[in-house]
Amino acid sequence: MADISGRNSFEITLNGKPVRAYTGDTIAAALVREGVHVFSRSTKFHRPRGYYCGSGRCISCVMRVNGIPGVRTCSTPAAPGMVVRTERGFPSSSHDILSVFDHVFRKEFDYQHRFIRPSFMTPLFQMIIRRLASSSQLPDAEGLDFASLERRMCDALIIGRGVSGSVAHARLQGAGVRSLITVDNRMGPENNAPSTAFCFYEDGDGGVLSRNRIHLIKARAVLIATGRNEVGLPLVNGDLPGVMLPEAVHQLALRRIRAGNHAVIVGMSDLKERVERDLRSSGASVVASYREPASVVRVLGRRSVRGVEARELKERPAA
Amino acid sequence: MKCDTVVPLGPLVPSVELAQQAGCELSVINGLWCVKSDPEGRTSIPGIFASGGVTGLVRNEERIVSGEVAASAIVKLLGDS
Repeated sequence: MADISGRNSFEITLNGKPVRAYTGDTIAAALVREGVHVFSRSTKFHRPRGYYCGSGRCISCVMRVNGIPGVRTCSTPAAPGMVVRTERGFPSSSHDILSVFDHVFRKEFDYQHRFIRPSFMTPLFQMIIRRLASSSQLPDAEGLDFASLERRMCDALIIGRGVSGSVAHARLQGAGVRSLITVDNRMGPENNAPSTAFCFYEDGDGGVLSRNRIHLIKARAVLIATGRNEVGLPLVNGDLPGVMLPEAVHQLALRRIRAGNHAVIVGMSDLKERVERDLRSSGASVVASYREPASVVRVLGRRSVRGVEARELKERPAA
Repeated sequence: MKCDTVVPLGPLVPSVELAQQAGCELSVINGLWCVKSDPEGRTSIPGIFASGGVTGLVRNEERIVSGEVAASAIVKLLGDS
């Protein structure tokens, strides 16, 4: 089966239910297209968490994929037959009965001092506490693909493929530098194997993680072009599913997926124009734009965003 | 105000962690930590260059130029050694 643009589609499953995905989709993109809001639950309180940063920087979207826990679904390509399960919350992330505890123990449930007596009950208590603390289960034996180490050498290693990284890549290729490795943590039409440079070792080797494998790269020259990191705003209820950073909206728009129908933009940065373009091109409308974050009193909703409560600020914000 | 999506536009902070771990010197530009680099993109660690947003550049043209300049410096380094 193919969509209008001719891309092939296939099926993956989320908690046993079939979800359609298209070539070029990340797992998260396929889930958002299907209308999934709650991707996981927060660790201490069982607050719902959705698709948030879209760039592998946060852990809102982690799920168990083909028996491997803690997989960032926003930067993992979807593949036919993938078995995806939410791993936080019980019985599932979208319906988490353990959130009852949040209402009973409003401040926090103290795992250190409760559930310790009688001591013969400890094994049972531990099972409950592990569920409450939403810790993951160990990987399935057959799903295990232990990270193996591969040593590589190159002339130039470019870390990052944003504006300056891409330009440098083209320039080096043009200058005839053949042994060139570019690390790019975003999955896109040209990149089906997102990679992340995670450290430099004492001998100067760069550690790069790609497809469950660690590459130790000895390069004669390294270009660090890691760019800038999007930081969210401290909004009340700002962790609700439906609150998402510009890159998340962009990644969805690239795949013609609508982040939502009616969007509110809060704050001001260089990315504002791109966000507006992304929202409109995917068919969403921008219903309001608050330049001053303080104008937004709180984000409304329980399981996902329903609206924002806004107020007029005394000093008039610059138009 | 009814809506189903909220997009917060917070500050854009240079991702200096990797460069910092590699031992590169940092400097503060406009209140944000950035990787310190000379006009040709060299950092304080020999063989490591930096370009673009991580060095504190914001405007697109500047980021493009910094990538070109650093690439040229790398070509020179590879040719020399």
